Amino acid sequence: MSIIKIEATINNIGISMENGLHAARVLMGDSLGFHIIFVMFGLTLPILVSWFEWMGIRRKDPQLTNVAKFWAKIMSLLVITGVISGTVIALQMSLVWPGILKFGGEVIGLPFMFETYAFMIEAVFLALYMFTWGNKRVSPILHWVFGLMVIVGSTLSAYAITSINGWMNLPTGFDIVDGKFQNIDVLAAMFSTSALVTFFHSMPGYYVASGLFITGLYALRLFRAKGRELDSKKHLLDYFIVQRLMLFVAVAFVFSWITADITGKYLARNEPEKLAAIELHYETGDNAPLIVGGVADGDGGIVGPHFKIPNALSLLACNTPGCTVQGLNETPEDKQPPLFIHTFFDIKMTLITILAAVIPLYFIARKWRPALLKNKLMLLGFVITSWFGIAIVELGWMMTEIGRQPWAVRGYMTTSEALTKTHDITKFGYLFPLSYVVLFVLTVIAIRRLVKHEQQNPKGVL
Amino acid sequence: MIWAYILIYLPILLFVVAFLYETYLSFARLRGKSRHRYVDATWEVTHTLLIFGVVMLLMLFTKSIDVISDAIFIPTFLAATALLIRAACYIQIFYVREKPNINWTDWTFAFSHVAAALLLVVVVIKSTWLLVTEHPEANLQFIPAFMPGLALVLAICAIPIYVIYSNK
Repeated sequence: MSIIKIEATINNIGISMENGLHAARVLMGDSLGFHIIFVMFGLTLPILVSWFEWMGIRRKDPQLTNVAKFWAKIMSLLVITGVISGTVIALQMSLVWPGILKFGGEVIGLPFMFETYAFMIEAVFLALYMFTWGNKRVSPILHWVFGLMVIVGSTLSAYAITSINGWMNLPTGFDIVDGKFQNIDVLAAMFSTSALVTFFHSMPGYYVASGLFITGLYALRLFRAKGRELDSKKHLLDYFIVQRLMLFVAVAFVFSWITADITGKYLARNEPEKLAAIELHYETGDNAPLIVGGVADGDGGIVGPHFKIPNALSLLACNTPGCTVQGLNETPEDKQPPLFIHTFFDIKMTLITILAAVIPLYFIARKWRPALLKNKLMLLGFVITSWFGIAIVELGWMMTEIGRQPWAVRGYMTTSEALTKTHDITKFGYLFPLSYVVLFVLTVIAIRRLVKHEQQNPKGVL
Repeated sequence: MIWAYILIYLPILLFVVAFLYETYLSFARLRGKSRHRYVDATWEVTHTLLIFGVVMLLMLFTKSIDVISDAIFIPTFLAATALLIRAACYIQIFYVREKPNINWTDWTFAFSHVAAALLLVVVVIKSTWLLVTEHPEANLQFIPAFMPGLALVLAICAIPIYVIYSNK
């Protein structure tokens, strides 16, 4: 009887830990998924605001300055939500997953500390920037410089956090001798290959996503306008903004393509099991094909409609078709990432392919068929595709994070080992996502109010 | 070791002062004198001080983070909940709401400050108690790399911070 009781207790603990781990992962996933939206805009809007403010100063055009001012209001609103969701994530990293920092804190703690510098610069100069709009004691150029400092702060902040994530994917900057850390090099950990590759791939991705989304909002405005209204002065400004935004998006898109190729090669060299899971590449070998479509059948095969592009994975991995690409067969089954990330990759690549057509299409239309840009169907197409960038970034991060499973710190500590052993996260696992929904809805309503207010303002830019 | 304590407690002390000021203003609004006015430009800066102090506490004592996180888990998460509620109320009051009437949202906003402040005081007391009684080993290897940067950042931010706070 007592043995049965003990067994039942052990089973219950097992279920509780399993539920706790699941809840903690869901909470972290929800928090990151929510926060990353604000990160995208928090990194992109300072650049766009500064760019338009600069154009306003150079051309002595108050309308462009007002566009910058309007976007700056939205930027500061998004920062309110972004800061609080970022704080919750930082607390989760320490309180829900103490194992990560207990294991590697003495190596990777420094970027967390550096992030406080970056955040301080961003917060202080954003406050100053908003506070000094229209202040006659502050020259336009000085005000613009305050905006540049916001860019510096937000970009450094992004690097610090990305470097921590990079270290979790590829732990470097230390040796373990007799179970203890030796030869700790905190700068090597902070500037690891993984950190640099991830940073330079994600940043243009954020620029594309946010730039495209804002373009979509202007396209929606043009879509709603009646025929003759499209030629009014008000909408001429909209066309100008769209043109500049599309230029910004196109440049960032090219950079993200280049860095995507570098990321593929990095994965093949340093995180081969993640690449194998993304590509459903089971057996190590050369002339590896790229598999498009299909899902893993759980038995080393692929089911569902799919096709193979011969040699493409080998080309992606090291630029030669004969290149050997490591397969999933070399990773023990319990250490393999979930194979559903292959579907994420397929969706992501589909969306990217559509964008690769839509972005040049805009420039072709602008050059040779300007009337097309007033076509309602075309405008609707831009509105729909403007969401793709955000979806691509979300899918990219899900691939990166889920693709590291079962590891929290790759090769050293699993997610379940990193989880707090003393507290059950389940309750917060429900509470926080709910509060994110409330915050998100309020933020959207608040932006709509700002837009409405701008539209009612005779000197407004909408 | 003294630098570790300074890096933790100085920003927390400054945060407490700034946060008490914001709490005072959030209640002062309820009396109706300055309903539309709030310390919006300073809030993020005040918040930065909190993040700075907490990050220093956690990163300088990562070897004992399991013990520290165990002690501060509940009050910290509840404080985060209060700050989330505060952020939601802030957006509702200053961005969404069109009528300036004081209602339950304003009271919730004011009391979210009190709740967050009290919970953060509990966090500070609990972690201080741990540091005093357990004498955990600090990551002092970070200090030489961190301090020059901190001096530079404070030099860059000092005048802007003064301008923002002195004009409110």
